[in-house]
Amino acid sequence: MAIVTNAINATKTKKEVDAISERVKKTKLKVTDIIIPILVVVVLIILGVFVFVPMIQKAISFQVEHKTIVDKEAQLNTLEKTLNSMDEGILQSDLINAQKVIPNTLKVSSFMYYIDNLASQKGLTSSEISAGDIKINTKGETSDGNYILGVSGPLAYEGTLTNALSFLDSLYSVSPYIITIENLDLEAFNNVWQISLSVTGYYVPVSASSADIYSKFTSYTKFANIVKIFETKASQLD
Amino acid sequence: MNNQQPEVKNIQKETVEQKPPVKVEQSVTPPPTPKNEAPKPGFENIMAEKGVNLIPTLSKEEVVVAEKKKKLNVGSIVSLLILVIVSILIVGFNIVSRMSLNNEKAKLSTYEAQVTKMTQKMISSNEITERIQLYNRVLGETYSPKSVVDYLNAIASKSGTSTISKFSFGENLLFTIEGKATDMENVSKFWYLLSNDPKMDTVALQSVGNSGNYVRFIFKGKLVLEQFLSSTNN
Repeated sequence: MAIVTNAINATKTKKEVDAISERVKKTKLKVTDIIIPILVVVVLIILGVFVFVPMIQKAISFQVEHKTIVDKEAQLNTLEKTLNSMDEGILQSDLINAQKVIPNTLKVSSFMYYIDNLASQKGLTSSEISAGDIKINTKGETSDGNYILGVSGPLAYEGTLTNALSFLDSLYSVSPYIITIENLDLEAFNNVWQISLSVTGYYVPVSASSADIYSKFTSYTKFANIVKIFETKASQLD
Repeated sequence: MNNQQPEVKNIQKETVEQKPPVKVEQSVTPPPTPKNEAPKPGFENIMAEKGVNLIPTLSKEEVVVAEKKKKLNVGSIVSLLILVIVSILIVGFNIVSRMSLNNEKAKLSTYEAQVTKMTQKMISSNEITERIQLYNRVLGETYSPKSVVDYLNAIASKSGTSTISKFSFGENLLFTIEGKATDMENVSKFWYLLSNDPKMDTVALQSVGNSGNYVRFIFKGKLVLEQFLSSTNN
């Protein structure tokens, strides 16, 4: 009986020992236990390098583009408001006046006819008259397209000093054209004054028929005083 | 880890040895359980209902390893969660940015179409502005010749007998005047008045000389341009 009991106990003990061993084995740290965190880290790194970083870069570029578009919208909004504030009828009228004073083309003959006619009205007699087209390079600008176009020529007249000064004054104040005077000489010969000068009239050739809506826009209404001068000068031509 | 197994075996051996033979069982009474003593840790595991539980409590090392495994399992879950959250955040940010951009682009194109209809106004305004700029540039530094001649004649009159017979004007109101006076005193007076005039920038007597009954003179100088601009450009 004791032998049987001992045998049973031995078997029991063996089973228990096996269970303990199994349990100990289970508590051991295996490679499979850390495989998921390692895999996650690797996947995270791969995703980060190949997916997340490009995605973030793309998203940042979207944000930058978004900002640019918002700025453009603001610019267009301002432009729209400015254009809406202009009355179509007044704009056309001001344009016609401006084009009369500084025309798209200035014929040498028309310009010289006007000057000579004005001199005659002031009691001066012409002694020299000639003119031609000129292209003036503006200050500091050398590239093409930065030229002012005009008609210029030397003129010489004779008459009294009062008439000569009245003529000079009229060139500025009464002339419908935009005129400049250069190299002015006034000389008296036996109470007859000889006046010699270079007169230049300006014109602006026809500009492009399209406009860039994103270019810097300045409304002409900001220069109301000059628009008024154009209006006055244009009325003198009618 | 490997050192633990033999230890377990020793415990087992000791346990086996401690067990008394079955025959002696009747005479030996089981040791009474101390009532006042607090149960030792793992005591419940050792003392089962019908017998002694031989499975020992975990050793410190085993507990550490088990804790490590637990931590690693929690770490795996947290890592996976982070991965998912990061992915969602980045993809979400990307999608939101793209959607927002597309939305703004659509708005902008509508705006552009709206403003493009008004470009004719822009062209007309630009054409006027171009002429205004030319006007400002050309007439910005011009002067009234009449006012200048009148002004110089007025100074000559003040000096006495000096009269001007020739005026020459160059750029920026550089001038040369020629004339005559009855005597040197009048010429010097004229020179003095020119030199002390507030609208005169510089002046110099270029030449002076007797010519019969009168004295001829030539002055060269420069007037202050700003003083003669006001009545010119309108």
